[in-house]
Amino acid sequence: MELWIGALNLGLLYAFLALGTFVTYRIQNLADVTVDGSFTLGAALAAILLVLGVHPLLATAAAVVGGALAGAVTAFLHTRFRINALLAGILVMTALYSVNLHVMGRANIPLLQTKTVFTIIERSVPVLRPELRLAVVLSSVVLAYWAFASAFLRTDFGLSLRGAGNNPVMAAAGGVNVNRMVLFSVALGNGHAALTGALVAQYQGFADVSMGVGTVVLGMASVILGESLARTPNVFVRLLGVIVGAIIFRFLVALALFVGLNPVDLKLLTAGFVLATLVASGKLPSLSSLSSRWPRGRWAAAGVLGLAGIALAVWAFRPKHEARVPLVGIVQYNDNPVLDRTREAFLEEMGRLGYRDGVNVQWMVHNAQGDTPTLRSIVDAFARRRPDLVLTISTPATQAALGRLKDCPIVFATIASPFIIQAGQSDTDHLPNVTGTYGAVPMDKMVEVVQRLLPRARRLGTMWDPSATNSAVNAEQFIAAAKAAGLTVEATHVTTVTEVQQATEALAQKNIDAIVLVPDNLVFSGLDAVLKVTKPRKLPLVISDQERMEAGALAAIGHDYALSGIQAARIAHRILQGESPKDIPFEPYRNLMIRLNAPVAKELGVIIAPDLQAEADRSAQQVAAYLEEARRTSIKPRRVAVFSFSDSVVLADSERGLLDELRDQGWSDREHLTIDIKNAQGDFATANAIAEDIVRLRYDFIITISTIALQTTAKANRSIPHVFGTVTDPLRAGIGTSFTSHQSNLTGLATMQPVRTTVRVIRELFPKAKRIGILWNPSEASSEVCTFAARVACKEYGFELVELHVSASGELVDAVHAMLKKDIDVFFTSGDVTVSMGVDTVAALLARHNIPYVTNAPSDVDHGAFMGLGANYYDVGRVTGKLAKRVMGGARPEAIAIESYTPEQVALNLRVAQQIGVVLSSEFVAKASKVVR
Amino acid sequence: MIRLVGVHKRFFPGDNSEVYALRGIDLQVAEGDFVTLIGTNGSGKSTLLNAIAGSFFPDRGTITVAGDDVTKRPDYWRARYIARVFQNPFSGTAPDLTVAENLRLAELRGKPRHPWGGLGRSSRARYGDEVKRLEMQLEDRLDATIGTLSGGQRQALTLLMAVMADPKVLLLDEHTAALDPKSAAQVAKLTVAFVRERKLTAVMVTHSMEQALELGNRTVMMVLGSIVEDLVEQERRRLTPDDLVEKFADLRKVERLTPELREVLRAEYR
Ligand SMILES: Nc1ncnc2c1ncn2[C@@H]1O[C@H](COP(=O)(O)OP(=O)(O)OP(=O)(O)O)[C@@H](O)[C@H]1O
Ligand SMILES: [Mg+2]
Repeated sequence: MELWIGALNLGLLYAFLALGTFVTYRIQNLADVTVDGSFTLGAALAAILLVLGVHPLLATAAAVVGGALAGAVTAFLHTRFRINALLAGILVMTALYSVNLHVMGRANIPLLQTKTVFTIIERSVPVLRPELRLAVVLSSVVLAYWAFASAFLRTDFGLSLRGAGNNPVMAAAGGVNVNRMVLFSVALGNGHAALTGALVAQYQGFADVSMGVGTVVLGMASVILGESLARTPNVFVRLLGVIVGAIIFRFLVALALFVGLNPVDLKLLTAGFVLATLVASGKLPSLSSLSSRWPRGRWAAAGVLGLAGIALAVWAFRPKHEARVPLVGIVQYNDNPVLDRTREAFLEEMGRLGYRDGVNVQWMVHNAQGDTPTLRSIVDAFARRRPDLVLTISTPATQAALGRLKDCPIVFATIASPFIIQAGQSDTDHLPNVTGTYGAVPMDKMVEVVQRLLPRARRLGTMWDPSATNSAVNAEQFIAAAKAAGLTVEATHVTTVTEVQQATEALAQKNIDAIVLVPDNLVFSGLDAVLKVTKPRKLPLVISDQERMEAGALAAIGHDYALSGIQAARIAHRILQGESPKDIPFEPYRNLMIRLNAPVAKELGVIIAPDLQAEADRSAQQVAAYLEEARRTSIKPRRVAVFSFSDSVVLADSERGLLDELRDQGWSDREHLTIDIKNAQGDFATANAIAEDIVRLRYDFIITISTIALQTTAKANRSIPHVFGTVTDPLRAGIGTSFTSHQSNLTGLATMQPVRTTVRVIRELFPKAKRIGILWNPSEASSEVCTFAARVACKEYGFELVELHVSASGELVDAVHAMLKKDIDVFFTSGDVTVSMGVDTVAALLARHNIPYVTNAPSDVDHGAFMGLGANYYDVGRVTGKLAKRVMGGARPEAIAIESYTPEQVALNLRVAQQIGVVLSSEFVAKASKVVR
Repeated sequence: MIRLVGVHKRFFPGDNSEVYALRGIDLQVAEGDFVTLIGTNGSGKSTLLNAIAGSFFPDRGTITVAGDDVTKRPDYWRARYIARVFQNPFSGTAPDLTVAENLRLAELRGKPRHPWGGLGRSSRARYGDEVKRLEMQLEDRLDATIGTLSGGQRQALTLLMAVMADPKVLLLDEHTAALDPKSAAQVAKLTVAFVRERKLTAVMVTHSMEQALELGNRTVMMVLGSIVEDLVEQERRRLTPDDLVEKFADLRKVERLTPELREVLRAEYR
């Protein structure tokens, strides 16, 4: 459910982007790429202002203004200098990348502790569940905005705007300043994109400099989708279509996630999906040469077939563990508390056995409400859906299922006897698809208790529903037992609940000493009517349902049907694990309970014999002990999600260490741990989707590797215990204010690059060196942290740090050349992904100029770096795993301080050392964990 | 009403595809004049209208409309005085907007376009009446998009839109050329009626010699970016369409026409 409401909420946020795109793309016929940048600009402005303490609404408004200005620049370039709109958009978008970095001051701003528009909504509307509340508020806002926007487009100004886009020549001839209209439209479009950016940042809890990638396509997809829904000139309907398009788009993404599609394929699906909509709606630009031979219909058919093919392939190659979850039907005869208790205990025990609705099992729970035809249709429905197992609670339900479901495993519970309904001849010899747990209340015991309580009783009254097989058998046995004990029985039948009171009155007329009720669904449904008659007459009532004693019975002899549910759940678990019902014997209930109602006894003047009381107490203790034992011995399989941002060397090492630790000596198997590994393949949207998915699937534990995985998950989840690792600076990621005071459901490791150590070692190796050059990408959050550390360390060790920025690996060669001109003695990079992508090139260049290249990644020596002094991320993974084990063992993350852990290791490339003429002491070389010769 | 003094225009100057489209045009059109403008293909008729309307700025010369020097005014500014109908029926209307919306846009010529106020019920009623006059079966289709109308319907509507806000000058560029004969006749009839009723100053480009002489009170002939004939009063009344064709033929030397082309001309300007 949360998945869908979440999708709705996101869709409503993206509706603003879609409306903006409608203005540029549909009204002005411009494909405006600027939105990729202005979306981020909106997020960046809002985030920085929020951090500075500006009111969220104001911050959001500022974001809108910022986005609009960006759009205005694009429009100005386009109209004034007649630069192609697409090109102008690309130019501004590119420029915005730098602007956004400057605005944010770093690559990523967390907003977890900050007041946002959403916290305001949460506080000011204190009804409903949070997501639902948000959905209601957002829907109202978007609908109001829709009405406003549509009305605006129908004003004289709006009309001119549309006219200018639709036919600029005509508009100009009619006195419309078309350029100004284009400017206004593009500003409007980007203002909307920025609004969505600002809202999404606040919604997901952080702004990131690369979060806008693909915004154009999102906006256009929504517009195209919306237009294919509503083909009309009416702007009200068209704008509504666009909003619905944005929402549907999010739903499709949610659907893809829901059916277990790999998030990596989402982008492909998006593209395919937009294409399909385009083809279907005939908006494809006509390919005149092709279209003559291949009419549009044929194109559409080909597109749809292609998509179907892709879908089929995805389905066919879907991972095996995503197989269909077992479907379990549960049917009970009516709302009798005994049956309810059985069902609840069953579900509870299944929960303890690790079954989660919608995750690894799907329940179909039905109640026939005492109606036999309904019972039949329920069983029919089961037969159609071919469940993996059906639990039948009560005799009628079991009977109905036996007749209809011949191949489906049936587990029965809370029935008196499986033999009278011909489920078998004995506990071990029974129908091959049926097993379960049963137990009758022994009628001789019932008579015995009545006699011990009421020694003077001679005549007993009873009643039952003759149409219920079980009840008739019970009644027969009861009458026989009573006769054997020298008692007479007045019996009467009831066929509907409304007759119960009358029947009781009739019995009461017959001069009886007590009423004894044998198990019967119908009579017990009317128990209150019975009491209405017996209470004023001070007529003792002994019943066979211990649950109902408090209603006013003198005594109850019966089973605790919670045990029945628990026993049934264990049998069900065995069957779902693959055992055949044929091999599982019927299990009779073991614990009969005798309960005595002291207040009622006092009222009736009945004296309870001490030995009877003792027996009752003993039976209660036995049941309690059994329940306690059941709870303790339940196997609890637990599921842990391991979530990594990408496959980079560092993260992969860390993940390997983590998994090795968890699986060490079969630990995870012993603990019944299921480990699901998730990887966002370096994509932001995917990371968000995975985080939400982890929460939706209610994992028992979460372990994240990398900063982004931590951030996305910390935002989406505040309850599931979460351990993180391979994060440079968790505080900068926004999950706490200090290592001891952090978000309560998580803890983990902070692994700084050993920058200070590295600078110290450089000082030791090169006593005369003066300048260290460092190259870094300011849009990488962790690179930024390292550079700050390097500045401090260089000051400490008497170096001058020469910094140059790069923003793409393509710029590396030029940057290194520029650096070489600055007369540096040592070149250093620290955990910068951009630089690490070109490590070989950089190393070769530097070696040619005899400059030692030092990095914080030991593996870089394999690529020609002189020295790599860095963290051993395999080790980091291992320690993360150890921490996770502690948390899974029951330690509260809240109580565990974040730990700073950087296992340092040195790697050397002696070949490079020789080439550039560096002489190393043998002790130093001996200390290295890895040496390339 | 309109005054052009020494107007020159070169497209792609300096390029080897340079076109010298207007070569020193001097033209005065008095208030209430209805000028028909004729000339061979590429002689610069459309360019002249564009210069008046402000689609581009001339290289030299001045343009005055209604007493205002508009030489450096953009087209949308001049729209307060000048309305236009183009040859292409697609050019004069916004295809995705409805008939009523187009009319509203036209009505706003020369007025502020506020983000409040809009298409009201009373204006719709008025549009219904105006459209009825066109006799193009448009009265029930106020809410249809223009894209669904025929060329004749569009052009009639464009004409109505042009005169709706009472401009001072109406520029018509072969506005009946792309229509079937019946619609063309109807649009021509409407043109005359509108110009007369609203006392407009009009310049109409046409390739039909009959039309050139029949409509309006003055005929201007262009060749190679210059005005070569300006016919008024008796001189104009005496001329027949064939005489006009002869006149073109006489310009053969100027235009360096081959004798064969003369026949083409005859056929074309019949
Ligand atoms: N915007 C422009 N850019 C470049 N050249 C132009 C432009 N407008 C007109 N020309 C050129 O100017 C010359 C005059 O064209 P114009 O359209 O005014 O002729 P016309 O008299 O209207 O001809 P027709 O009878 O074919 O409509 C032509 O050679 C044309 O190619
Ligand atoms: Mg022309």
